[in-house]
Amino acid sequence: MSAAAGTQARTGRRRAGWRHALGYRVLGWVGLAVALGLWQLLSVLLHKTIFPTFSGSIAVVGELLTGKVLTEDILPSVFRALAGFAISAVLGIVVGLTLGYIRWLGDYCSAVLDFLRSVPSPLLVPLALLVMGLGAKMVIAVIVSAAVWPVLLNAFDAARRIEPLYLDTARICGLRGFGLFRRILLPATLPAIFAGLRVALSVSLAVLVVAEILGASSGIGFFIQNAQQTFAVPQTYAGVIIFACLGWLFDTLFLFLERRLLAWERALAGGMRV
Amino acid sequence: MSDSTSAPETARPAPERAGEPLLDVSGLCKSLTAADGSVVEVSRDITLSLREGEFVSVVGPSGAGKTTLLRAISGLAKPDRGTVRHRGEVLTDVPGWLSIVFQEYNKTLFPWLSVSKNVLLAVRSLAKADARARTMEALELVGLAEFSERYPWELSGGMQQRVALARAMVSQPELLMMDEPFASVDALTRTSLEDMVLRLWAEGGFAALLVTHDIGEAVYLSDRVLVLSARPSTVLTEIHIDLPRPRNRATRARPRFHELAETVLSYIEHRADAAGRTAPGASLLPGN
Repeated sequence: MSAAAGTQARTGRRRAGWRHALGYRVLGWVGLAVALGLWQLLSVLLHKTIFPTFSGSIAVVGELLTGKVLTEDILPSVFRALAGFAISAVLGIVVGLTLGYIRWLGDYCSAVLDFLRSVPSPLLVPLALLVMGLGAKMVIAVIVSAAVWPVLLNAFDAARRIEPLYLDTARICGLRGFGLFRRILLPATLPAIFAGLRVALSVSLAVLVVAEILGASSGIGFFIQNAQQTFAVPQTYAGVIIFACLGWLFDTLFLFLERRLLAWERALAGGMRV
Repeated sequence: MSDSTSAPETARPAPERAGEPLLDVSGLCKSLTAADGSVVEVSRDITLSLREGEFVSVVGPSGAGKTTLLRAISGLAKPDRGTVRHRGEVLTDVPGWLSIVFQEYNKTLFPWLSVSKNVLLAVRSLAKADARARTMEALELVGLAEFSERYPWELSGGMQQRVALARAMVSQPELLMMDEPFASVDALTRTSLEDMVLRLWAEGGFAALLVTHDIGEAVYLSDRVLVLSARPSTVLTEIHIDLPRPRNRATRARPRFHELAETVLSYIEHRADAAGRTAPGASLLPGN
């Protein structure tokens, strides 16, 4: 009943949850180590050119990260992915919330949106090449064409289903326009938006590689394809490993951010009185 | 509840102290569209008025459209017909001099804002320092100053409703509307919240319009009780509550309190039986 007791129970639960999360994480690392060990074992036993050892691939990763591949392929790719993701996020949130909040406008645009989002983004690469030529701009545009949808649709849906009393209360408090957007609409829909953003992040990375393979002269996708075509097998594997690590890093950073921004939502969902 | 605010309501002149006419609702009609598309006539021809500093309650059988009425009067919903006038001027949007407290405190307090920021939201137009001072003042009024940096979901239900009350107070409204404000809290908390509202009202000088299904609560708090008929609702009658102020626990023990509550109840029950057969507003019982 009292707030103090509630806080105590909450910290208790948090501590227990922490221990649980730690155990879970340790197990995950053990599993990863086992999988990598298996890779090493199999590649040594099979001894095939197309299946280099894990230790060999990692050595190449080290070389790549200290050589000019870092500045010429990896960093440009990171920049493209993040730029595409950031544009998708802003565009998706603003358009999604606006169309979701202004009901008639959303109805009006629904057919156009349904049509646009059913276009597979790799199909857009030739078109984007035609319009923007080879390079970063083209890659970013193709990323946005794919990554904007999970954000936009989640924001749209959440804005449509927003608690009506939130809006009434905002109106009584005299909030309208940008104030309403920033203080009520955005935070209320943030949990759904974050779910969409997380999907958008992995979509950004996937589309990045596709676009770079199809139409770029630099970047991780370009590097991996180039390595494959020149039969630089360890380089190909190393490129994939670097890319996978990037994906993992982004996702981890993302979850960290989400945990900080949505602390209130976890407290609500975690069995606190609602 | 951690603190009981049973401080006696400060002395207040008789109900007749009510001042200038504040709000005039005339011929208000409101229909709602149900999920299946059918239109339900909820309020039919509601006429009522409120004076400055008056405490008026609206009671009626469940489904009488009490909430719909409150929303239409406040400007949250547009009436189909009829007008709401504030000091003679027609109301079109939710005005700044109005505050509303709803039943569902968990849906009106924003979980991503701390208690003080929730209250602060209602005085954003003021200068920052001023708004902060007023916010702390309002939280002190409801005894929650020390919880200002907590989040609403860390507090009990009664405390959350007090935060909602503080937010309603902070803008210093001319009129406080309440929609079943105590229906979601336990009985003990409810009594102390009622007394808190009485105290705030006595000190604040605002008018109050309370929508409730709790007849005892309506009689205990109000200067006048308006009884609504079943849907489509009209104002059946108006009962003056001539219980002396300040009111406290002893008020509920008075024979007159029970008489008045009985009168209100008989109107509601009679209308529920005779729904549609008696002309609206017909006098069924001698007035008081």
